Amino acid sequence: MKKILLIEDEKVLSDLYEDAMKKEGFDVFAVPDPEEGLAIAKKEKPDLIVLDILLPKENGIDLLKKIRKDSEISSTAVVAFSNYDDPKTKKMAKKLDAKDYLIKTNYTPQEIIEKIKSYL
Amino acid sequence: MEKKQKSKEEKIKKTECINKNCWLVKTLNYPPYKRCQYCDLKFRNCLFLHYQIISLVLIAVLFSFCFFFGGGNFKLISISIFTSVVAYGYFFNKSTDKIIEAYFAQRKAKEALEELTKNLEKKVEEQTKEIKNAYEKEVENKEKITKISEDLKQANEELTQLDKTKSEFLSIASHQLRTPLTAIKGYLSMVIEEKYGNVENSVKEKLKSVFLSNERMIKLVNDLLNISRIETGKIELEPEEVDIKEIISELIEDLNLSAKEKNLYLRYEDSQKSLKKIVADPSKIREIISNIIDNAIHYTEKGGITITTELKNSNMLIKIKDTGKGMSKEELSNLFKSFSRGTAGIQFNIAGAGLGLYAAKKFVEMHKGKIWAESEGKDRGSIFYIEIPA
Repeated sequence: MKKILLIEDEKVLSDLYEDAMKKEGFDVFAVPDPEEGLAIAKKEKPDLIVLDILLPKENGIDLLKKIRKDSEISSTAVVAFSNYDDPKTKKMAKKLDAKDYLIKTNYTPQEIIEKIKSYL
Repeated sequence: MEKKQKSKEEKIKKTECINKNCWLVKTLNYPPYKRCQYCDLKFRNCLFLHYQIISLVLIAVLFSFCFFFGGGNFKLISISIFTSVVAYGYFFNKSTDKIIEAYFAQRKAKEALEELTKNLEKKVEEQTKEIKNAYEKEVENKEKITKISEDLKQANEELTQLDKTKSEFLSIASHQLRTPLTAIKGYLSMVIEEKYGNVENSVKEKLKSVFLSNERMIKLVNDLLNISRIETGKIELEPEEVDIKEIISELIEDLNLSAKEKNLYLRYEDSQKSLKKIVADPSKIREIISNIIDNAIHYTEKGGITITTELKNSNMLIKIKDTGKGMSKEELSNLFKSFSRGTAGIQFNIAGAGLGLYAAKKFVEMHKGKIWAESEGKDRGSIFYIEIPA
């Protein structure tokens, strides 16, 4: 079973995607806090991190920088995931080796899962 | 000699123009006379005149005495004295005249020099004043410039802050608006896909309508955010190689549901001559075509929408033809403005501002392309043209 770490602060969306991924057979760790997410990433070594960009304490991009700097988890596949459609942020994410930058409202959970499967 | 000259000059000074009141000058009118250079009155140096007259009288008395009461020698002596006195008087007169002339000439020159000096001083004073004023003005200007540059610096800081605020507003607005819409979309699609258990078809159909309404809401928010970004200059093209056919095919798949809701066909007719790939921003091209198709679906009640692509002068030309309500000339001219709805919109009570078409136009222009529409009139359908350089 593939492990997915979902870092998403909005509870309604976190529940939705956790639900959808679990139904698809993934082992899901859903956390709202970026620091907690970093800790779980190091502990569980997920196959993919689905990372929200607009997080409360820390920007998702900054967290991604931390992930890339940490030797334990630097090569983990990351998919950036946000309703913030900004070209600069997209470029930054791609620069930091994110597999994709998905706008949440443009896809149903099933469509997102199809994309995730292609990155695993 | 000098002392004598000086005393003579002093005497002359005392006599100038007082002469106008001198009774001797007035009564005697004694020729030869000289005109006063200052008051143009005939004058003779009055004092000298008095001396001369007094001495002449004395001499005349003496002469008369000698002549009439003296002996033979006395007559000769008195005549010679008298002659020499008259001669002396004549030459003395001449020399005093010369002194007077010289004095007045000197005085005139002195006065002219004084006048000149006064004028020069005045000029120097004026120019010094001017320089001082100019210097003070320059200092004032420098201070003004310093203030202006400080104001500019502050204005620049405020603009930078405003720009930052705009960016932050856009990020918050897009996040806040889109979050609930995403949740609705997500859970609805899960229920429709029967992830939470079976759903009756009739219920499914209703849920699909809700889903479509939500999609329209998402689209409206996207359009609003796009326009907000366009207007604040916060939108950029992300060009890459794009397969137009692929985009159109995907869009047809996405929008087929809403077309089928109204029993409309939505098809793509491929022309062999069209370019396989062009350099464009794929998400914006999607928006453009999707907005036009969406618009066509809303304004069409029967028949359907046909999309074709072809090459026109090495540009990609996309045609979206519908069998809908059509447009009048007035509606065509207002079409791509940010808020416009055709009369058909009001008639059908369709909600929505003309934002989609306005955003489409802006995106086409960002690609240096053209967008326009044609219609043969009411109920005769419309054709939208999008031309993008390859």
